[in-house]
Amino acid sequence: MGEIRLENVDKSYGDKEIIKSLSLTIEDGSFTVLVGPSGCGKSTILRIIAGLEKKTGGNVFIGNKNVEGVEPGKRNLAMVFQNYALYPTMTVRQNIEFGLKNIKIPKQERDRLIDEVTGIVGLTAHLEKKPQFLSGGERQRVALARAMVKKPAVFLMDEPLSNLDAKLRQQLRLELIELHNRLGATFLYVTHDQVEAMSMGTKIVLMDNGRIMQEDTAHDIYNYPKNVFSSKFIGSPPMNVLELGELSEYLPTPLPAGVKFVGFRPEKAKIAENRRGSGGDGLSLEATVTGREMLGSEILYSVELTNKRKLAVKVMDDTEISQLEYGTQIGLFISSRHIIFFNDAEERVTAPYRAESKVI
Amino acid sequence: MKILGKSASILGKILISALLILIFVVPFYWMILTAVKTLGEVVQFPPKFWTDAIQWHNFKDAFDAIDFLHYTKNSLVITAGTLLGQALFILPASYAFARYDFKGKKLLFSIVLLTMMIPGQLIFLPVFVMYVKLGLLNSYISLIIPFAANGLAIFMLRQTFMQVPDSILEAARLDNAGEFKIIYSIMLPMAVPTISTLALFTFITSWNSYFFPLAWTTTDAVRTLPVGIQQLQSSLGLNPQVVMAGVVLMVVPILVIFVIARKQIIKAFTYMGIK
Amino acid sequence: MERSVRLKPRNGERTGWSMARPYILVLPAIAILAVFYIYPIFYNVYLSFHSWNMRGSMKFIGLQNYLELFKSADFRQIIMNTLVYMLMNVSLTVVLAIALAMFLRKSTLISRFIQTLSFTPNIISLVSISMIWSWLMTADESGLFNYVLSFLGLGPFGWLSDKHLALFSLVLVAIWKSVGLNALIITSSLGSIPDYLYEAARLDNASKSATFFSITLKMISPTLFFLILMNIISSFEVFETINVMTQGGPDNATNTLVFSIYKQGFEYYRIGYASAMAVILMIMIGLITVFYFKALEKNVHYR
Repeated sequence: MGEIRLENVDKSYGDKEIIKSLSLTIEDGSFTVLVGPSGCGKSTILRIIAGLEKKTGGNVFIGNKNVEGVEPGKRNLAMVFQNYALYPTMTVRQNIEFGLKNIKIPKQERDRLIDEVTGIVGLTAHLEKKPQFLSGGERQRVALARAMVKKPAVFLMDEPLSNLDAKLRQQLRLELIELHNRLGATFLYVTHDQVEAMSMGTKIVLMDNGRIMQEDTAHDIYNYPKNVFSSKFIGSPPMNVLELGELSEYLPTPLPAGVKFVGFRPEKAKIAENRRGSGGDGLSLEATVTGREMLGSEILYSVELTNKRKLAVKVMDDTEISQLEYGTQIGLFISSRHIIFFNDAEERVTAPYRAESKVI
Repeated sequence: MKILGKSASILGKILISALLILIFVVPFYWMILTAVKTLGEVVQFPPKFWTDAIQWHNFKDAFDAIDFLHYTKNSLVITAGTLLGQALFILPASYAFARYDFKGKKLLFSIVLLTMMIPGQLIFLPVFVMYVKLGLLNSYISLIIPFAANGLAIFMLRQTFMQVPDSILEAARLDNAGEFKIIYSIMLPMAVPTISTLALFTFITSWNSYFFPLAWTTTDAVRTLPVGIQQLQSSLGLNPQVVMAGVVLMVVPILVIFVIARKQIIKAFTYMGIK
Repeated sequence: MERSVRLKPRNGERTGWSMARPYILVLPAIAILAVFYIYPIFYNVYLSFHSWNMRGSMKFIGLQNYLELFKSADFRQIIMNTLVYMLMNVSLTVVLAIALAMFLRKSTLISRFIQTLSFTPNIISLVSISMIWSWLMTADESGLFNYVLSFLGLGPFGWLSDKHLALFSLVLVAIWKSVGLNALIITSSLGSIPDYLYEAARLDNASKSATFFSITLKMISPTLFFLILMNIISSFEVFETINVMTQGGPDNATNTLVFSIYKQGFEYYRIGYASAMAVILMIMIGLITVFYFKALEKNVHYR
């Protein structure tokens, strides 16, 4: 019912290509997150699926049906907008009811459906209020209820949490995950926030410049980035990526063929205060501490290599080990199974390292 | 010293406030007082600031001196006609300017902007000549149609329609609302504050309109109340109490409306002033 | 990506109806504006080259109307009157409105009351106001103004009968009518000046007058500029007060362009001659508008 398939979809405004022959299958019942920097085309994809924007080429299938020429309202989907897009002159009830009225659902049935969804999102007490008298979180819930009441197979969400404050955002993230589990419908969620993407998506589609850069689970996209872009977009702080020329002397051998870039996650580096990293199979670096950020459970150091290259290193905070001071000379060691190599097309050249015995 | 200075400034403020109140109240007070005096009281010296017996018949005299009902009816017809005309012409135009792209839109909209700069006093003569040639003199139409479209109103309403976020319209499309339904149940309700501001402004301007009903007519057939009341002055100049009674009859209804809708009217005028 | 999208014809189908629809909605209004505001401007110029008394046929006489105008001492006086009236009205209205707005700045019961009171003349027809003020300004002692002023040992003044005073009397009426609205508009502009500017000025030890001139006036300058233009245009439009109170007299002292166009056109039926005056009025308004926008570009502080 709720599978979405895009085949070679193109979109351009005049000469400007926004989407370049993009193909993508969004599984029925998945919580798929489209993530990428602003301008990457993620919202355009959403709007093309909704039928709000006309594509320049390609096909879109929803539930195996080509939706070419099908009205937005007839695509069996609902959308939640970034600014909620509530009808300001209508009460909460009228907002939710509007879509039902337009498809001529009888009054009794409408009331039953409204009771049901407002119960789920906890809006029962606010039904007769106008949106301007609701808080941001409540408006968000109205937008959700308005989408849910139509019982669509697909929910499209365009950065729905970005106008909320951090705490509420966290709470609604959890609620959305629960809602997804409960409804079993396909959720297609657009965001520029990689943390949001990682925490919610059963599947993450990372986009840049109108192309899909990687399509994976949160775990795999973090641990096995397919390319430099992916390694830098996902994760905070991003992966340290160095050019091979900057540190060839330190590298373990043998190197895979065609390597141009070397990357590792900030938390994979082990710190040894006696400058030289412990030996073994991996990458050893010498560095100087130039900054320290206390994150709570972790400490984020910024360090500088002898060639002035800056790196980020994250370690668990441990009261038994004193924190490193500015200017301290340290050694870094990164085990070779945590090193990721990219070629000069910025694509990963090594196969993902997977410990056979471990279960994710 | 400081305390003295402070109380002096408070006293100054009170005096200025009192003076301001007098400046704006006295003309109205004098109008009403004159309207209920006898001719003897009116011309007596020194003037009396009170009257012993209210002369209600002054109002009847004013009412009888001109065809009061006729002028009132004209004012009502022209005001209602202008409001209706504006709804018919301004609403669709400003909606289309706000929400459609079409060839020549820029050029057509520049006509709208241009007319915002043209005062009516600049074109009353050529329009009068047009009316003479078309035989439209002394018709209601001639006093309604030119005001049924208005550059400023189109501009402001277009602004309002443009400010409706696109996402709301898209949400409505996803809710299976057709274009007419979107206009009727989303756009128009959202424009109600602007529409009522414009309507109030038009109502008051049209009701008070004097220049065009005078300039574009040669008989009394469609002349409005302000034109009629002014004729009291020429025919009854020696009876200021009757003239003022006529003025009271014209002013009081609008003052009553002002008292009722004070906030909206002030908002409307300030808004029209700022834009 | 987050660009706005117009409500386009569904799925881009360019049917005849969807192509024609915007024009059907727009053209009736545009037609009115074109017929009653744009075309008359040109027609006016056309008329000004003709001689016509509304009967018989029009006669082309070239620039003769203009030549006659420029030779006429009356016309020079009319232009002078128009300009003097405009200058007095604009400067006094704006200065007094600023003073009134500053005085009423703090929102108290009494200041709101005065605000409402001073606004009231705006909703009343100018004809009634003119009739009331004619009565107040009656020249002999039964006129209220002269009576009150006699206590101060002043007058009696021939408010409307003294040719040196009459134009100013008309300005007084115009100010009384519009100062309240002008002040209201200034007040709302004052309200949008952020407090931190005043706090910063206090920290910089700015005097009251320095604060007023370099913060308050600067910040409301866009509004003031706008009000000046509006008042200039409404000064040119003045008609009601003249027609009711002075009929252009005494001795032509209050005869302005619009009134004189009206007189020449509607009482003497000199359509061409009146049109020539209207063309000159149009040029004056056009020049001032252009000058205004030029000055606006240069001088006004925009937030």
